[in-house]
Amino acid sequence: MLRQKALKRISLTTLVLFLMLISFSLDLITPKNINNLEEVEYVANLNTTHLYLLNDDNYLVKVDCYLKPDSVSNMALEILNNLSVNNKKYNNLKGLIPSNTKINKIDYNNQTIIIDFSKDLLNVSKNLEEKVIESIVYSLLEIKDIKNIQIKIDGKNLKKLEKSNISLPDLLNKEIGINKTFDITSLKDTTKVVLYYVFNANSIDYYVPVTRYVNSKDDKIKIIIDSLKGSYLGNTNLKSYLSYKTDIKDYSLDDDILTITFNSLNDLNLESVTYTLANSVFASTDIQKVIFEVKDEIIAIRLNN
Amino acid sequence: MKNILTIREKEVFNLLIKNKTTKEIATILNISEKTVRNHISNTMQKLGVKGRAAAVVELLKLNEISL
Repeated sequence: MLRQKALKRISLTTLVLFLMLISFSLDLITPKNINNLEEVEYVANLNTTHLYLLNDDNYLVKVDCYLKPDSVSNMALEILNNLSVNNKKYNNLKGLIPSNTKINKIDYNNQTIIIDFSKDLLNVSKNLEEKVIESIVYSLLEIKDIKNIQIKIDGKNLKKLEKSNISLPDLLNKEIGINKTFDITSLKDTTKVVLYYVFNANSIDYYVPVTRYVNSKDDKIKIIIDSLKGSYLGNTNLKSYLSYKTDIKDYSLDDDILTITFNSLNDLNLESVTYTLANSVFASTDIQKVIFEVKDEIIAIRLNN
Repeated sequence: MKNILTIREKEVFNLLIKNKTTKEIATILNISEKTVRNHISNTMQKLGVKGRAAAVVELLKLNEISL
């Protein structure tokens, strides 16, 4: 009788322990797996965008930034937070928006974002006033749904930068230029192109767009290729991997598709060369696609995203 | 220095950087060539620069004219 009772108790205890073990395993494993899946999905859903932060040579440098998909206004706010001087996430590169700057209001309508800042926004030195605006405009335009930016200071349209006396149009876009450099010696054939150079910091290459004003009768493609073949921009630390030795055989334009043909790939840093050439072309012309060829063979294609 | 250039001075320089000659600018704006030259020299004086090219660079920097 006692033996039977003991056996019954042992069976019951074993069953309870077994059930507890199963329940514990389910609790421990299943939610974790779900969390992991959610996490993967969450990471995959992040949008890659770019910020334009200042390096020690006072050039705005393009850096990657990841944003949660959200309303245009919220994504713009997130970008503006990342442009604050408090942002220390990027080595040796700094945001330009003064820390005590408040955003009074932000509105998005018809592809234009209107941001009303407190007057602290322009509490910077004379030579950084324009950089603040360029940094905000170029960073916000990385959001595809934004085509124009209107900046207000305590409710009033910002029309002029007080210290540098630079005028601003009501609607700001990439027409304002970035990291401007002037090589104008006469009034004849004045034109501008945007050139992408490379800036290296702590063994990391960053891309730097430069709006260059020049006198030239050449088409913009030739100006871009010739400028980038110079290896360095003037006496700056901005370099181009398209060395003067790089042999570009030809280039041709068919509608909005440009084909650039190299004679050989000798000493060619393909990723950087195709990126800087294609992005310079996209920023300076209406071309939407650049095909790179060597001896009739396509080696890279870049699209204007 | 609130408004650096008058509207007319801006118009003259916006045409100058489009490769227009003094004569062409005078015709387009319906003013004499002498008046065009006056606008140019007044602008250079205001900007404190010597030469038309230097004036264009300053005006581009100040966003007073655009390409």
